[in-house]
Order: sequence, then C-alpha cells, then structure tokens
Amino acid sequence: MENIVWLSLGCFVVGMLLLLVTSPDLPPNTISAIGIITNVQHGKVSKGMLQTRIPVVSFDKKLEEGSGMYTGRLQSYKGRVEFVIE
Amino acid sequence: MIAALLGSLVGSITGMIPGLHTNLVAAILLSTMLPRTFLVPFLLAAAIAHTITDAIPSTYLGAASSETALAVMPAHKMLLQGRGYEAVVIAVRASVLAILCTILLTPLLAWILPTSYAAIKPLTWYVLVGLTGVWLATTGKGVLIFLLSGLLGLIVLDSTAQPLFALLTGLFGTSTLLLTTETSVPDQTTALFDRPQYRFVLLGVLGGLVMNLLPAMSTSHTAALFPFQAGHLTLVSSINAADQALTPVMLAVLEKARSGSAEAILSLVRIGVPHLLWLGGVMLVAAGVAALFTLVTARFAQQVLPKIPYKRMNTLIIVGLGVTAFLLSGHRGLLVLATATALGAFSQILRCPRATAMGCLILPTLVRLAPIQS
Repeated sequence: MENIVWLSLGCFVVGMLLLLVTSPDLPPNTISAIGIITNVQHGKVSKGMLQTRIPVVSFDKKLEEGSGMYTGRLQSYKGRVEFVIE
Repeated sequence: MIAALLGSLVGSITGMIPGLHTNLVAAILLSTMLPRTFLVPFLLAAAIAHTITDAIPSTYLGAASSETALAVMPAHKMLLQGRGYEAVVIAVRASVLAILCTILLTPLLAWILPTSYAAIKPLTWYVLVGLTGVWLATTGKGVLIFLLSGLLGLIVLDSTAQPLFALLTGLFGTSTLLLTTETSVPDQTTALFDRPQYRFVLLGVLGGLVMNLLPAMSTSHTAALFPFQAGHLTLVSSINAADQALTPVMLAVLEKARSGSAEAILSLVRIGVPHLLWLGGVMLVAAGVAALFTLVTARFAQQVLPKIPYKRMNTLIIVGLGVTAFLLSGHRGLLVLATATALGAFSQILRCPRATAMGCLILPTLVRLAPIQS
C-alpha cells in the first residue's frame, strides 16, 4: 500500500482524536441593537426601521413597532447594510 | 464529528463533478435552520474535501477551474502516458501534505499575519505588477497569449454568469482534448515513478499564503507566478489545498473570507484562536476521507478507461463540458468556451507556456486593483 494511504489514514485518525478532545463553543457572529422599530411592512419578509436608520429584516418573526432589544447580525444586501434578526 | 464526516462526503462528491462548487452547497445550507455547530465543520470539511477530489475531473476529464487550470495539462499528459493514477496520487499527496503543513504553521501565522497583512495591503498592486512583469519577460511569445487571454478575461468576467468554468475549461481543457492525436488511452499502471517533490509543497503553502494576502488571486494565477517547468502538479495542488486550509486562521485573525464557504462560516460564527485546534481536526478528517475516496475512484477509473474508445470518450467529454458551460452560463457560456478553446489551441500551436493563458485572470485583476481607480 502506498505511503499516501497511510498518510490519509493517519490524518483521519488524528483528526477524529482532535474532534473528540476539543469542544466547539462557537459564539454566533451577531450583535445586539437597542431601539424603537418603526415603519413596519409585512410581506414575505417582515421589514421595519430602527432609530439608527439601519433597515431591519426578520425572516421568521413578525416585527412589531416599539422598543426592544434584538439579537442578529449585520449583512450586506444589494450594497446596503441590513440588520438581520435571528 | 458527524458534520465533519458528512461534509467530507459531500465535498468529495462536488469535487468529482465539474462545475459544481461547495459555494453552492454553502448557499443552500445557509438558508436552512441547521445549527451553526453543524454548519461550520460541515462547510469547512466540504471545502477541504472538494480541493482534494477535484484531481479526478482535472486528470480524467480535462475539466478546469480557477483552482486546477494549470494542473489539467500535466495531469492529462500523464494519463496519456498510462500514469493517470500517479497524477492523482501526486495531486492528493501534495494536497494532504500542504494541509498538514498549514495546520502546523497555524500558531506562527496567527502571530505574524495581523502585522504582515497591514504592511502588505498598500503595496498589493505593485507586488502583483512586479511579479507578473518578471515572469512574462521569460515567456517569449507567451506575452501575446497573455494579452489576448487577458483581453478575453476583461470582456467576459463581468458580463457572463459564472464565467470561470467556460473560460478556463476552454483555455486549458477542451483545447488540449481537441489537439490530442491519441486514439486510445494506454493501459494504466499503478506504479509510481516520480519521487515526492516536497519543496514544491512548501512553495505551495507559501503560494496559498500569498494568495490569501493578495485579493482576487486564484490558485492558477499564483502558480503562474512561480516560473518552474517541473512540479506544477504538486505546486498547484498544494497552493489550492493550503488556500483552503488557511481559512480558519484567516477568519480568526483577520476576519477575511476568500471563498463562499468561508463567507458563510463568517456570517454564522465568530472564529477565535481557541477554535483553531478543533477546526484543524475537522480539516484532518476531511483530508483523510477525501484522499482515500479519491484514490479508490482513481483505481476504478484506471481499470475502466483503457476499455473505452478514447476518441469517442474525448468527444463525449467535450460535449459534456459544453453542456455544463451552457447550464452554468447560458448561450454566452458556449461562446466563451469556443473562443477560449481557440485561444488555448493557438497557444499550444505557438508552443507557449500554458500558464501565460492565465492572463485571463491576471490582467483583469491588475486592472481592477490599479491604484488609479481608487
């Protein structure tokens, strides 16, 4: 059997051991925003505005106008920054 | 662990199918509600596995991507010498070793990257122009191919949907297949003739790093800047693998994503230095699974290929590549494929270094990064 087969098996075994002994405590790449949501529009995607004038988007929750704390992430969409609530 | 194994399997399959990329898998998975602890190892494992298994289509089908374009020629040449399996072994060995080297270098990279990136960034364009000029000076008539392919790249890159497949397959794949005079694939052997070229693996890791620091560089673009006649297969495969294996450290230290998969990971989680060991494990699992998968497939291919009439198979492959170009880029894709094939054939007739056809990516990159625009 070629060395490459042993090398590949070695990689696999060491990789599995590393996965067994390490734990993935991955923090979400999100930020928090506090503010009042205004100008709500309901459609396929629920949209509104935070006081920061950054568009807010939620795919799975209906936005309500009013003050609150929202967790999500900033993403670029069609050249604009949007705050996507998670 | 299951995510890493599943990702390795999916990446191994996408690597075998020309035109299919893990970026597509990333885009689909991001729209699902799967947890980030599943998605991150899955996407990373798929990207690593894809870079290893794409040695199969580039060797046996002549299908090129920006990652493998310069590997297609030497790999296909070896196939016609009965050494297709060896070509795959060289590519797989280079990829696995480059991934191992990159993982071992990760602590050092995490330390030096922030300062070196800040220093290099303003000089990017000048470094690229200098390296390209020095290389072109050694290629003779290759300058003509560089300019023509560069012009083609400037015309099609921003005006065609997913142009890379048609462009690179035409320049490096179908043009080679069309000019091949062999009527049959010779009996294939599993014997290995060439000794491992470790220095090219180290150069490949360096190339992968350069590529990550300089924007808009592709694997073949980077490899074209290393003026070596020999060892290209090892070099291209290791640059490609190192580029992917650098993803975790680039995300952790610079928050910089080069691929769709890396973008997807960056949008999901904040990778930190403490996660690098775990992600190293994911990459090792993916490398092991994909390497074994590729070797088994190559063994199967080398038994089947000599029994197939080569001319007919070539015609079928060219038609298949044409259909793929059409599906990816529409009618314009076919036009790009035909034009690139003609230019690739022209460069072979002129006996120019094939790497000069990478002008199709290098010239547009230089134009895009030119400081006069910014």
